[in-house]
Amino acid sequence: MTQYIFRRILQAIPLLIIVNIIIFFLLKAAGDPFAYLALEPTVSEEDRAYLRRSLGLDDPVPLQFVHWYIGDDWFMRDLDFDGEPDTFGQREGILRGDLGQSIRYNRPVTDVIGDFLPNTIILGTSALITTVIFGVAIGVFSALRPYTWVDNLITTLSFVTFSMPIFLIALLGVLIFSVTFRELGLPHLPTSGMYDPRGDRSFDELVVRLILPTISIAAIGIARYARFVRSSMLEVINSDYIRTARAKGLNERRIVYLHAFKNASIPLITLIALDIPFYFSGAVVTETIFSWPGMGRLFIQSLQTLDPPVLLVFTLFTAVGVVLFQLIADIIYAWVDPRIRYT
Amino acid sequence: MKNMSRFTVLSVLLIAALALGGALATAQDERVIVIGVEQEPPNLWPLNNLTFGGVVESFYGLDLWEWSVDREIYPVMAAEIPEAVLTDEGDTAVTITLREGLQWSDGTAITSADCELWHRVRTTPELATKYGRGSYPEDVKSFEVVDDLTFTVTYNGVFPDYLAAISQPECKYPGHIFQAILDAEGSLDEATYFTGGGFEGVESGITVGYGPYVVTEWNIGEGMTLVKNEFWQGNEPAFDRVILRFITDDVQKRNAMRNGEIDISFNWSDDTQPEYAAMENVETFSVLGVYSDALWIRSGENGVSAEHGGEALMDERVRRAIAHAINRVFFAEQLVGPGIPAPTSWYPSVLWPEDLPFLEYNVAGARALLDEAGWVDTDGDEPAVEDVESGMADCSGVTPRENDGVALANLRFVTTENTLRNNYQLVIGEALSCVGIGVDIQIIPATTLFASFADRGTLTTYEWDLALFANSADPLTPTSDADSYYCSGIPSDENPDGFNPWQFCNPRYDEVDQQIRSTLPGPERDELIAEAVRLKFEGHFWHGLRLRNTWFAVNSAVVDPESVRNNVGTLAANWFTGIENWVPAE
Repeated sequence: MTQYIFRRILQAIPLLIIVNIIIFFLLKAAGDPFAYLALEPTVSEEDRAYLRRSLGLDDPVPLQFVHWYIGDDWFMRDLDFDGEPDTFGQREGILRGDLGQSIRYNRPVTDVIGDFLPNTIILGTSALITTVIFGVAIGVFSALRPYTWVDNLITTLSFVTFSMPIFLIALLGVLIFSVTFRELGLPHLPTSGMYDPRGDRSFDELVVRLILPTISIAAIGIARYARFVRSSMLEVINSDYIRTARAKGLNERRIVYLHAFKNASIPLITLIALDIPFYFSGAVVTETIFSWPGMGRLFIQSLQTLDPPVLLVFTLFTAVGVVLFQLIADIIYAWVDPRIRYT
Repeated sequence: MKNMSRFTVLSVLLIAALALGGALATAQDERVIVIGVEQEPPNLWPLNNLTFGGVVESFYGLDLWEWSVDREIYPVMAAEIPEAVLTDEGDTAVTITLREGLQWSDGTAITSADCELWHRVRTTPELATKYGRGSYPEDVKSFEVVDDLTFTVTYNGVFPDYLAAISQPECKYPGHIFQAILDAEGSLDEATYFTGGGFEGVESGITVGYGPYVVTEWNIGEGMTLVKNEFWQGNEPAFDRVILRFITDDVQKRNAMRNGEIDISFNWSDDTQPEYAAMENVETFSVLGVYSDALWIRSGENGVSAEHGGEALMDERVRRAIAHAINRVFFAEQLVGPGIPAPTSWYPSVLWPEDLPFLEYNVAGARALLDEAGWVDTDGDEPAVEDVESGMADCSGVTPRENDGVALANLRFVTTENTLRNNYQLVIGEALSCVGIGVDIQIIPATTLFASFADRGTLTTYEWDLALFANSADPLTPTSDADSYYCSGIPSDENPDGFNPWQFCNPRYDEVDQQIRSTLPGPERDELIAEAVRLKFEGHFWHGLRLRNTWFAVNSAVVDPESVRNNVGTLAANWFTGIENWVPAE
């Protein structure tokens, strides 16, 4: 197993580098991050030229890529525009742990991400837990009543939800639980931010404001998990060993939860592990709609203002997450299913 | 299964209970107002002159003088608006005196030394390397501290626009804080004040400034909290706390307003006004801004083709006829709202000569001008004048006028994708049909429409005849951008940076504009300005459609809307600098 893990990590390195190269060159093709300053009367063309050069944006793109990896503190630039290089760069490169400086925020990218990531972890955890609990519960419930009207109803609702875009679910949630409830004089849910601006930033406020974004993210996941668990459970429930267990007169609850669900849930582990990076890399649409200050919103802001260092780290973070959790899924898979052995 | 059902029911009950708890209002002793803001500034740099940085700054970082939406300049930190004098060397000296007793929000006195620090930072790039300083270093020759409250700024040569924002002196750096940083680090690049990021607590000294409020908390991605500045010398604000809530999504901003999560929403689009107006306890109003949406006409020989009306638009009479054919006042009222004017000139109204005429809606006059220019209604199918009195008649079957076999048809009428502009396009197209002018409506992405000649922009390569968009005029200066209005600005292979695709070319105008730039304020300059306004007007390549307005929605249960209406600015015009005069709702 150790050898397998080691080999997977080695395989992941070129994959991450390729992802990074593609994103890097795509972002470079997107244009000048300081183009918007052309409309600012307080910023002259000389100012823009200085900014571009001091941040290394005037360097040849392949050289910028090298600087992104190994830094530019060994490389001199001509910052006084006299034709002679005079000033060393200040970056150390990602291989030395320097993820760069955000152009928009004028702060280290790690600090900027540090501001947004915890909020995404809160929302992602809430959405993941909700998805797993409700997805599994509904899937099992449905599998135990196959082809009844309840099962058919759940199946229909699952397909409908699964087919809906997240923004529609989010806006429907707002329309029902916020706007309509308020119009009917019922307690209603707030629509924006993590806390009540007039409040004291308490845990209660956070929980209330988590509800709508959590539902928006989790709804599709619940539908997907419910379908997955249902089919997996049906397959297991109809297998020989379950029939044997029933023949032996075992308690039905014990059969379902101990024998059937345990085995049916093994493929679910892969599904959850593969989903985790996406829950924790930010829900772009949901966070924008609900003004949730998370990674998804940071991504959109950085894209709108063209902040390449933040976008690069964001995509790297997501890619590492996908690779890492794929590996974790494989390991857990082998751990829970003795039939699987990696060499 | 019963357990699972119980679990589900309990979960739903828990969610409902939490929702109820969250919806219950918390009793407040202090007066708080929450303003929805669509963009979060990246940091609080005074040199970061981004629009939404300016929104925050209007609470805590005021200037020596500010200006109202009527472009009236009034002193804030300065004791009075300074006047300029010419020195023996031919330079422009402006002596500014600060009001007595001014204090920063930490109680330290504001002196000329603070203003001198600002000057030093703007003229010494090493002190703050990452931000721009515009033309200030080239414009300003010297800065001299006269005494604790007085200083003199000397500009190179004759410099009449010393009150304009770009090169005006400012006093936004608290010297007692920043000099220590400069002494220790040699630069302000890494000063906490400027690096953005969340913080909490006024004692950190992060945002010491001069204004009615001071920023005490910034939760990144969520909002900022500002409290009253106890050292502010102006009117004491009625609201103890102002909370800026960052809501980037328009729909959610409306929902937040509807649900009472925010008390003020501003800078939203015209088409959402009915939705805001229908909200309970919400009053809406708009404040006229400084920019105008206008109909631009390609008036020169570049772009002429028989396919698109031939040389018609080169004739000033045809361009004037177009203005007379459109009921601009009626359209502004119908499409935008009551009280929205159609401007006479591109210049701010305070600069217009009193006798500058507005080209009224006059279909008969338009037809007469077209006849005079040789464009004739050959088949006589244009409707009678009394049938098109409203300005919105259906003239879709009218055939275009002709001149020597060339039809006044297929004029390429371009604009960007924008509901209001596209509506304008339709009604203008219909109005022009009523006088025998046929248009071909086109919607073009802004990046293509406004691209430079080198990047093959629609305007700069003359792939248009009529265009609808806004071009900003610097609200405080009567001079023009040479690239956009001088003969030398007409784009071509030799002049790819030019942005005068309307081809307005009047050598006398170029000369007058240069004279305005080199004449200090006074009667002589006023005369030159009047001449420039008239010359540009007589080019008839620009017909104002509507002065752009900034919409506000105000929760009348929290604040008196009238007091807000009288004390807010518009886009690029001081936003909330009058907030201390807002009155809470009774």
